[in-house]
Amino acid sequence: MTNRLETKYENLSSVFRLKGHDYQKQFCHLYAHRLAEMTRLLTPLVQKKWGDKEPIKKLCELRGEQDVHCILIGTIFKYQAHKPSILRDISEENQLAPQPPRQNYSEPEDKIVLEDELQRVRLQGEVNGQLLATGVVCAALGGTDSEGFFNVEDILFYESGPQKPLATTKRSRLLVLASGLDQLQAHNFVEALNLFQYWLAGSLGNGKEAGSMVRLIVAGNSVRASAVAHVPTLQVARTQANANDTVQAVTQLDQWFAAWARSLPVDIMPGAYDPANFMLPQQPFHKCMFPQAAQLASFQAVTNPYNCRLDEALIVGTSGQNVSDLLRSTSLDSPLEALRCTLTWGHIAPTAPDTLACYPYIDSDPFILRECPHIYFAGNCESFATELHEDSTQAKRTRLVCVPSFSRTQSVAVVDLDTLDCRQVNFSVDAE
Amino acid sequence: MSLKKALDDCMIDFDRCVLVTDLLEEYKLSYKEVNDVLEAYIKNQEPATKFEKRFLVHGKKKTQGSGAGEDLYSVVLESKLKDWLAKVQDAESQLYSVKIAGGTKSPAATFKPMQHLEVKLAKVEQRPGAGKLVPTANGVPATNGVKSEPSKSQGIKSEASKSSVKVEPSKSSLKTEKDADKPPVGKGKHSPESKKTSPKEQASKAKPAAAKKGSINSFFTAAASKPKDVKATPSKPAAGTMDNFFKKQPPGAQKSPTEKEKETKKAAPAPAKKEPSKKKSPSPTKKTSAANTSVQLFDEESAESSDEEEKLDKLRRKVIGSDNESDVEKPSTSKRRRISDSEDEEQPPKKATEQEVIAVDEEMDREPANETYLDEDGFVITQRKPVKAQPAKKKVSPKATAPASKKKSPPSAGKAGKDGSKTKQAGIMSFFSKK
Repeated sequence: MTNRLETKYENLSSVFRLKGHDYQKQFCHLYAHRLAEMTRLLTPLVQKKWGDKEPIKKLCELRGEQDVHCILIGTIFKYQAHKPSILRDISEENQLAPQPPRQNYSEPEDKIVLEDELQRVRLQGEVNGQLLATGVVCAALGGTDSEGFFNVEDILFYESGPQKPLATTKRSRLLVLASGLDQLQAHNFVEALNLFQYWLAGSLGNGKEAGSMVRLIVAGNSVRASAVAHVPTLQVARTQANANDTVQAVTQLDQWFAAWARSLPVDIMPGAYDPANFMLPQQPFHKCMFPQAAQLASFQAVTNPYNCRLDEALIVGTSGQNVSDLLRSTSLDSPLEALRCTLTWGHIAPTAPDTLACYPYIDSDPFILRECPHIYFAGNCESFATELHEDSTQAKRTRLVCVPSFSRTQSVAVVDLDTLDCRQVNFSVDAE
Repeated sequence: MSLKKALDDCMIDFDRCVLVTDLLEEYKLSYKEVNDVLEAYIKNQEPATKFEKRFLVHGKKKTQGSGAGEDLYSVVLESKLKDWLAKVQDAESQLYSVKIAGGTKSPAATFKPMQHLEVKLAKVEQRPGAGKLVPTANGVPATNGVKSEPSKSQGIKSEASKSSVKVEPSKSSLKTEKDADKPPVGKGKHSPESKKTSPKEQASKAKPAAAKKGSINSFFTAAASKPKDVKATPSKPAAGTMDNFFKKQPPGAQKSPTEKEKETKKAAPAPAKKEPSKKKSPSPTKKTSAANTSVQLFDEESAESSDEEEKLDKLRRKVIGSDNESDVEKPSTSKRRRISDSEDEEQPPKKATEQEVIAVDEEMDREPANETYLDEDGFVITQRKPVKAQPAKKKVSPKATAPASKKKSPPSAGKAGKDGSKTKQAGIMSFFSKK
């Protein structure tokens, strides 16, 4: 029996812990704070890239003048005809049959608008509206025209701030990323799950590799990986049965995690369909939900998004809501692209609170990426995908990982903290 | 027993699908060892018996597009093993499951969390304060309505014993609570020497001590869990107290008959300290309805609890009183309130109030007439009489005081038999409140 490699661990998710529960506030505070904070962060980058020639102006300073060449910093608002709107639903409900929700409501006709504190201006030119999302803060270089448009010549995003260099230790330290354990459907992949746990424990002849696995992060949807079908019924028994299923699933998960946490440190994030709060940031599961596992210091329930440091490597990730919401509102073709975009934009969830539920913060925006992570992941993806992303200056390297949903793919992702190499490990059972 | 011996002795039933991982758990061997032993055994058996084998294939699969390889662990049938070994790079195969070919159809596989670890944490640390969870789950096995909790905690213990994880036994963290309980328990312990015991003590005798403490603990944890970092579910303490409530009812109902029996037997003298029983005794004298048991319960609890808990009890009494209040039961409920008030005030009732009690007794038609007196050991004995003996009611209470005054030695004033008991009760109340 060998001992597992140990690493320094620091949980940096305190920004995502809610201090209060005041849901009465308007979301404008969040946007205002996001813009103010990102403007402060973008300004030196703007000056560095475009120099001092072009002034940074507010929209109100333009006063409707033509041919003013300047830099504007503002928040993107994407006018989308098909964006879900509760107001429209209500107003139309008497005239139209309810339309099924669209999986993607991005259209070539979408209009891109840049808003600052007071005004807005429509963008055109070197800006691809289909690849942008509402809530993204950027700096745009360009000039005004007679029609009131702002012709963009170049655009600059924050790109997630500075990154600490990653010291190589010449020893393999592996981070295991899993998601979508979907306990309620676990009977469909029992053998894969069985292989996975013995693989974690190093029993499948992989003792050396297992010894270097330093942490397991389960990125959401551990209890359930899909929405509960709400059949309109007057029967209380059905809802009761669903509740019982969830309770049993959590009890089972507790046993799994208690067993796994004796083998390696385990972090559990809540996911979109887990019995946790709906709004981002999702708060950690209460320890009462996992009475056995919670007794072990190696087990911890964490927030979604999650932010931690293992040795020098900064790890940031979500359970995938940010990516899936972005894919609905843009024409981005893959979760990996969406993940990359959020890193480039310097914001974990730009579509929150517009189309992604989020807590109405009034004095901060915790989703701003102030420090560039070394590993950036999104859970519950359809399939595994990874790429080593380099920023425009090629000074920063980030391993992007789309963590596959275990219930769909029976796969997990493994990242080497030293080299940032990433691979998929698949546990399958050949159907007869 | 070693795996080899188990196989030789036909201890493993291959009629069902036997997983190598299950054998790992049972015989604490490495995968390779299990694989080797099992393969050797199958080789010996193979000509005679046909086995259906599945293999675990491990290798690397090149994925299109990205250069990153994919590690593959796949369970394949023996018939497809060669194909798999050919298409996977650096392929290795090991046995995964074995069963007799054509045997009974295996039931659906169930997932069992692993216990046997090849690679484990150097130090599995217990989370600070995690031990506190165990007593709440462990200490209430009899009274807690949630049955899965104790089994869970036992499960943890077994896991802990198997591995190096040390789950704190409940006793250590219980100690403080036990200490808090000790005074009444300790005093109660005198009674076992004698044959005559108070009903509560009898209950404590009958039950294992741990169970009793558990029930008390559940009560204390209900109050104490808030400031502490205890992981018990919020419903647990409540369930515990409710269970206590229901559990205490039957003994409560049996109390007076047992005492009657004992009284008639005139057992050997009991030791002097019988405070808990005295606490209880007033309630049977005054009421025998179902609501009465709740008063008894609260009497017990108030005797064992602190001032804060007494306040809570006060509230509960009010709630129960309001629940049970009906036109028919009005006198009894009002009386119960009066009883609780007198306890809460912790004032020794005066003679006048004593007479009032008797008057109220007379008023109540529904209640059977009771005979209450203190025996020589300081017990308040309640003897029920049939309802038809109503005319004798008035005499009952003086009677009750008279023999008590004759017998009892601790209270000096003979007349104030009941009075004396009340004062003593108040004294104990103050004793606990001081504690």
